Amino acid sequence: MNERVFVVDDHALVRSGVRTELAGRVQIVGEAGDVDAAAAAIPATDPDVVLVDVHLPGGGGAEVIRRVLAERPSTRFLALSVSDAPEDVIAVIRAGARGYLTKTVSGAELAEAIERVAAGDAVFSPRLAGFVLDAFGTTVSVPSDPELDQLTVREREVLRLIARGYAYKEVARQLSLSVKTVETHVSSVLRKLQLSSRHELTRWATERRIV
Amino acid sequence: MVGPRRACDHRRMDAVGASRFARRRQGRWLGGVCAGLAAGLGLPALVVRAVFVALTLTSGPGVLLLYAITWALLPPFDPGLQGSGGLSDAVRGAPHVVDALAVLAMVAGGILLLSEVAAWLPRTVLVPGILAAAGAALVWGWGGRASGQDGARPLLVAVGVSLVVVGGVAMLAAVGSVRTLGRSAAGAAVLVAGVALMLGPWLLRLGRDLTAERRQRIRSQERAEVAAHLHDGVLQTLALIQKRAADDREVRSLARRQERELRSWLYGPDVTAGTAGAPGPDEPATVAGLLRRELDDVEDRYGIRLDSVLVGDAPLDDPARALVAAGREAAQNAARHAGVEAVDVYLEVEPERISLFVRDRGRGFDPAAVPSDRRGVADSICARVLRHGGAAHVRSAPGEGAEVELSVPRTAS
Repeated sequence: MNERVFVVDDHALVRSGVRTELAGRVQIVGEAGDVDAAAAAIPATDPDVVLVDVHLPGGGGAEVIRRVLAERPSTRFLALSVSDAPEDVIAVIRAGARGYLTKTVSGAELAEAIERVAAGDAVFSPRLAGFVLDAFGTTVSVPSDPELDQLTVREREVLRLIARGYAYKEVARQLSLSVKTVETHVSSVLRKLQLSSRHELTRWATERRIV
Repeated sequence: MVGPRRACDHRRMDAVGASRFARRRQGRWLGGVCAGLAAGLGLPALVVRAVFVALTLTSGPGVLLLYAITWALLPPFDPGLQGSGGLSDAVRGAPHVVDALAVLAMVAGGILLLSEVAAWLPRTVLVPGILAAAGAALVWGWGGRASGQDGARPLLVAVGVSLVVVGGVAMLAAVGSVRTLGRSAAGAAVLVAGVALMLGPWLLRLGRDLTAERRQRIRSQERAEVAAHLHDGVLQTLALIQKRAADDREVRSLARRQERELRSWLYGPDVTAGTAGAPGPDEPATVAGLLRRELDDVEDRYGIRLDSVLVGDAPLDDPARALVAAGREAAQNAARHAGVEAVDVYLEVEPERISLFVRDRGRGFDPAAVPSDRRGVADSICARVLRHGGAAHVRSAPGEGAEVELSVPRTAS
């Protein structure tokens, strides 16, 4: 499989680094350094997956995702960032990214994540899993939409293992599930994360900024 | 020295507009007025106090009223203003009950003594006059100033204004008839409106310019702070890395430490940048805080990367401390024996327990085959949490890495 990948990052150094790491694994079809250039070039180059940085001049990764999805809804995004700030991460995920990785990820892991996102699945790093557990976590409140505002016991188990550093394959073995089932659970968590109107989610993100 | 991290808040503005005269809390006798005046004038406090006492003895209780008004006018002094540029929360939040009582006592005493001395003045004039004066003091003392307790300020100003209005009307009503007052009030209102119309735009613009200038100043202060931080931390680390380029481990450890410091400065909770690298003498107040510090220390010591995910937080108690200590031991073991560059650490605080996982993908070992004289795992990891009613599991097999799972129950808090 040779995915067509587009890289959006304002640092040329990072773009060339990603290019080198992914050489031979995927096909890089283009790159951009800011929101406007990305929004113009992505639909034209027809990529399978767009790697997008969270912080970009002209509105950030979330803005790129919103603008491109409005024009080309089939585009799949994977956020790649150095930011640990939960509000940044949650913002790109809610804008429509299908996963989030930190830039310390290895080339092989990145290529695997790209493949997964291209196939329509979600990619959760341990940190993102931790954020989600925190956000959907311990606050006991009446959810306005139980289907979207709560995690199932199984989903919670899966996230917990991912947060502990388990790969999907290891999660599957630990819980005696198939990898496909683990992917289904993670995708369902992603959907909840994107669609939930749970106000704890936004309040949680803003609170973190102050704490 | 670290101010607000991103958004410049109003605390900054206080620092910018701090006045030279302020009441002192340290070394005060009564309301701190004399000490404050003395500090502002550069005189010994004793001199100012002596003057006040002498004035009181010679010219009577009016001086006490003067003292009260001065008290209301002077902002409370905060040593934090001079250095860090932020009001320290302790002083900010401290109740001013003592001060309020002091000023009340003085005003009451002033009224009584004044009415005694100035018996020729009808009470119908005197009492409203004092009321109005007290209201004016309140407005001038608390309204025009940016500092002080923000929550109480609008209330104080409102009380002050109503005191002035009520006192003024009552006094005028006692002197002349209210009807003539009404007519002259209308005239005065027209006059005031005219002046306001003429001067209004100019005042408005002046106010706007002042705000803009102040904002500009705050912004450049923030920028200077960021520049100073980048210079101190990042540039020095880069210089060190160039010098030690041959030593892989050292370079990695340097880069990691700098990354951590910068991260905690940019996104983290408000830790002082100065102590971020070396653990400070005082213990953090929460489980996550303590764990983060211990992990940082292990990273520095062993040149390893600990990818930690911390969910939730709780105040520190003995079981939690034992959990963190055992977790540190587990991370150290992984750093020493696993032969890996990174270890995953996961902390989760649940309502009834706290769990901690330390996982590596290193060479692993057979837990059953650990010689009994190597007490590390048994004593320093398992026994620590077992003593506090917790649980500990070590899972490992040769070639499969290792995972240490620890948990302690939460005490009711």
